[in-house]
Amino acid sequence: MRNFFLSSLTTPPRENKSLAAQLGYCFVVILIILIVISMTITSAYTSVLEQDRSDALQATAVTAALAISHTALQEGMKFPMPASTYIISGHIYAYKINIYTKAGNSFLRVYTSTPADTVSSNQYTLDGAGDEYRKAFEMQEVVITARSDKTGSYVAGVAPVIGVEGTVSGLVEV
Amino acid sequence: MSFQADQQKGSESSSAVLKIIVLTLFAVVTAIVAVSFAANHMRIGFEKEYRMQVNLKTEQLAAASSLLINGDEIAADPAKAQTKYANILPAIMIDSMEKNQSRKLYALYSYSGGALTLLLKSSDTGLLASEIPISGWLTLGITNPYIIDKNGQHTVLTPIRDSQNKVVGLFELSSTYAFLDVYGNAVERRVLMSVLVAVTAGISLFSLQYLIPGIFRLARRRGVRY
Repeated sequence: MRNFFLSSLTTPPRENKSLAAQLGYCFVVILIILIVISMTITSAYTSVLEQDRSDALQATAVTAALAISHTALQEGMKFPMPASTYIISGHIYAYKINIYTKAGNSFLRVYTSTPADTVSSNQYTLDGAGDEYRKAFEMQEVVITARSDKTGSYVAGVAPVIGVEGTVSGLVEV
Repeated sequence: MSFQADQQKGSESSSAVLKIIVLTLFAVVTAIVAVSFAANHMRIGFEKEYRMQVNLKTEQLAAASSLLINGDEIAADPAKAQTKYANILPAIMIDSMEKNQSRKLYALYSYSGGALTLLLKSSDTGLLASEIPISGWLTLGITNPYIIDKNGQHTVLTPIRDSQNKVVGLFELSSTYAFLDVYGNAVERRVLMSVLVAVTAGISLFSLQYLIPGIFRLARRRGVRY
């Protein structure tokens, strides 16, 4: 074993062995470079796409909040705007819009754009709402946050809704 | 005889050096071509995705904004509408102000007597509504927005109607993505520099298989001599 190791170190590769080593080496190096480059470019452009999607979420949340401002937030209410959409890899998806009012320490959903999950059939409270939701409500800020429930995980834009009295009466979650 | 052997050995050595140079050049060119092709292919795909995303976002935002703008207010008192929407529109047009992001440009016009009057604008440059003849389109009763896509800018012109369905204003919203070219060029340049460094490092490591035996032989000869 020692002799083999020493002979491979003391004798440079020649003829077919040399050619195979050179070709193999070139291909492996190019493959590694391509993988690294692919990861670098993907990461660079993904951050740009994510930032733009975040902006779109916030803008959609603000327009939705403005559209229902100075109206009463209650079960059975209608959302006055057409469904907004977004695009990923050529496929268009509709934003899911939820409207909540403050209920004690949590938020009670009074409207959802999901057809199969109407408010009357399924009363829903944001028990697991993070501090971002409270911040949006109390500080009147538009925030981007992540939330999970039994149906899945979401990235959401949350905007406060100004009520009839001129104070915050609820939240719009896009 | 000895002279001939020396000459043959020198010729073999030159041939080996030439082979190494050709192989090195081949490796560098292959790596650069492969990476340029891959980087450019990925860049085109991402830019297409980004443009689609920004264009759809601009159209959706323009449609939502035009629903929020009250045509009756513009028709009744343009000055009052100007003050009101100067506060509302900046809140809707959220701009991350990130260096590598699209920029939003918007303007609100009142429309009467076949002419547009500027009520408010977010920028002095890049607004197109006043430069193109859209009066005919505005009065046709078409509900679809007027879209202009050129020079790295996607512009959506949306008519504002009053309660009588009469066009009383125009909302212009543009997203510019001129930064994409600069960003893409910078990414490709950085990638190619990385490739050059990687290939140089690869060739240096590859040459070790020829250098190490030479060093071993030299060390052995010295061991014998001393």
